[in-house]
Amino acid sequence: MKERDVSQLLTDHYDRLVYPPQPPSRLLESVKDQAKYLFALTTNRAKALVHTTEQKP
Amino acid sequence: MTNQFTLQQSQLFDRAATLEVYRGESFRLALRITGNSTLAEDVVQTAFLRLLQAPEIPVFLPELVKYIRRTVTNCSIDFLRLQRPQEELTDSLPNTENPALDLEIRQALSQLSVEHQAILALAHGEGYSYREIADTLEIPMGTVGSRLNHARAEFKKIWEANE
Repeated sequence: MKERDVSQLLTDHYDRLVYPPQPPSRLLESVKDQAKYLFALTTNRAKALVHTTEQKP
Repeated sequence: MTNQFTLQQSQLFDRAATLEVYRGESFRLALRITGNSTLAEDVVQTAFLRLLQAPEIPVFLPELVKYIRRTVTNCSIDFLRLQRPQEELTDSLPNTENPALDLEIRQALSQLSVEHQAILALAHGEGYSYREIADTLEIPMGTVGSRLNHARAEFKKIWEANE
């Protein structure tokens, strides 16, 4: 097998790996949803921290 | 305190909106490196969480694109390292025009080091230039050519041995 054939075999393989027509189910969750989750997590962490600090003598 | 959170929230949502534009491209990149649609979904989720959590990311377009590509590529490499060697490939390969051949190629690719799998996907899959590959993998330009040649030679050896 020649070097050129290896390159062509690989290029054709990657070309067939295209973005699926239907977006994968787990990717339907938008990046904004991830951001909302992250923000909620940060806020809750902050609230928990305040709560812990307030309880300290 | 309230203002600080509001500002953080608006910044976070602005960043999310920017990243949303690059989700399809990022998924395709992760899919070509990993060859596994389930893994590629996980890579994109993880990469975007990292990008959302980063204190700063580039604002301007060429630098932003480079940064996103680098993060997705690094995440793909991390996930490939953690993947079990004999993980079932059949179910996770997306439907292609030639599933039998693609499965054989993917099995041969999976025997390469993760660095070689990544560079072949960037060069032959994404069609990146040497400069773009060097930026994405954070390696010198001179290393790109030699690593690519080694990767192709190693793949050829495995492919011919399996024939």
